[in-house]
Amino acid sequence: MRSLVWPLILLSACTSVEFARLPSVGSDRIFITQESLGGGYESLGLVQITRRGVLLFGFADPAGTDLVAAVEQLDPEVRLAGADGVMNARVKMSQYSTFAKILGAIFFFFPLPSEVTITGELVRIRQGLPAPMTQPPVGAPL
Amino acid sequence: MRLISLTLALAVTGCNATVHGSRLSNVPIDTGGIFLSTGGAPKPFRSIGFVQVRGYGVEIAGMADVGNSYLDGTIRGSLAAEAARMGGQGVINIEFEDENPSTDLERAQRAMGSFSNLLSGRGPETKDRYVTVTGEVIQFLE
Amino acid sequence: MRTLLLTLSMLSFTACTVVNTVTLPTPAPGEVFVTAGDIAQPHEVLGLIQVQRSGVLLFGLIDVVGTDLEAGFKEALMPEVKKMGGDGVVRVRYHMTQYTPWAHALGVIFFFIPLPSQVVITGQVVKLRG
Repeated sequence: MRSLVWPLILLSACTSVEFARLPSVGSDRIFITQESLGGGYESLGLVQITRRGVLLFGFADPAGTDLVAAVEQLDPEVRLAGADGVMNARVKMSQYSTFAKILGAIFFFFPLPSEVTITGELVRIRQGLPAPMTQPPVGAPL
Repeated sequence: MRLISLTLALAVTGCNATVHGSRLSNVPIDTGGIFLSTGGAPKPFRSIGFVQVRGYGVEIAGMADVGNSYLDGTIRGSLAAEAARMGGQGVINIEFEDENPSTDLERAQRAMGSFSNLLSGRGPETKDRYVTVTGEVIQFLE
Repeated sequence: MRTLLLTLSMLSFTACTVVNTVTLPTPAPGEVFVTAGDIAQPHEVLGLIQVQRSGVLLFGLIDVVGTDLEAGFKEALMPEVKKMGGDGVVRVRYHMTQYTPWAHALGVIFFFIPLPSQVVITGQVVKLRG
């Protein structure tokens, strides 16, 4: 039984989850969506936010390389551009399992590199216009 | 002590990199040329094919960028040109990534390193830079 | 000597972009369609697919296995979609290894160290309804 304890602990730490709550839509808030917009819009440009740092002792993230920090950094960029929000956002980030983080804590002299990247298109909404089309495959009605 | 504080401050706050690209096309379309969007198409279309463009350049001394590792050069330049060559009228579902943007801290480090290199008769520090862009080339049916 | 070095540097930057394409003809009835977006037509999602072709570039140039977009889409993805009974693939995402001309040149010189090459394509396989 004792010989099963460590494998069970290690296997229980095979998934890491990151979550960032997006700002809710309101008159003074920006939107961030991974989809395209359903109506007309004006493109104001592209933006990519990258935050890079290390995880000290496997767990401490002084530079803020998580999703929350990246979304928080995106907000002023959107406002500076005069945009209403970001569409087609894509996210990429380093994720370490708990086991990897524990190793990072033990071998603290080798900090774990950590990075998060968000890309997207800055848009200003144009009201009351039809949604963009999708391609009909051959044989299917438009 | 001040130098340590400054370094620590840079280490925590200078770990962000923001990359900008110029406007893409608006919906509805209000200008000529190749339609470019990270989203879908505003009119019925048929898909012609797919493109992947990788632009590369060199960052010199943390300050100057030479080559084609800009979003604009790869998207509005190479991607649009390739779409036109394929007979397309637009590129949709564009995804982009600046693979290794430099943070303020890294730029400062490279600038300082280049300065000391130059004083000792060596060349400036350089960093290879890469941008990758993909997209779906389309022709409008109307 | 300085002029030569400067010229070589400038020449190397004239080849700063690598472009790869795949042209897919309009699918005839019964053939697989591919799109990076979504479709409005009623459809059933059969599943997710990821195809990957890995190989090496011999002498920095010769792609023996076929690890470019053409091979990835036409030889790997579309036959698999047909096997699954799908009519097409939506939300396609793809990536292939791209080397600069300078890297290709190094691959030719150091031919005993072939350059690894790979193309990966993912998507959602769908069957149209009605």
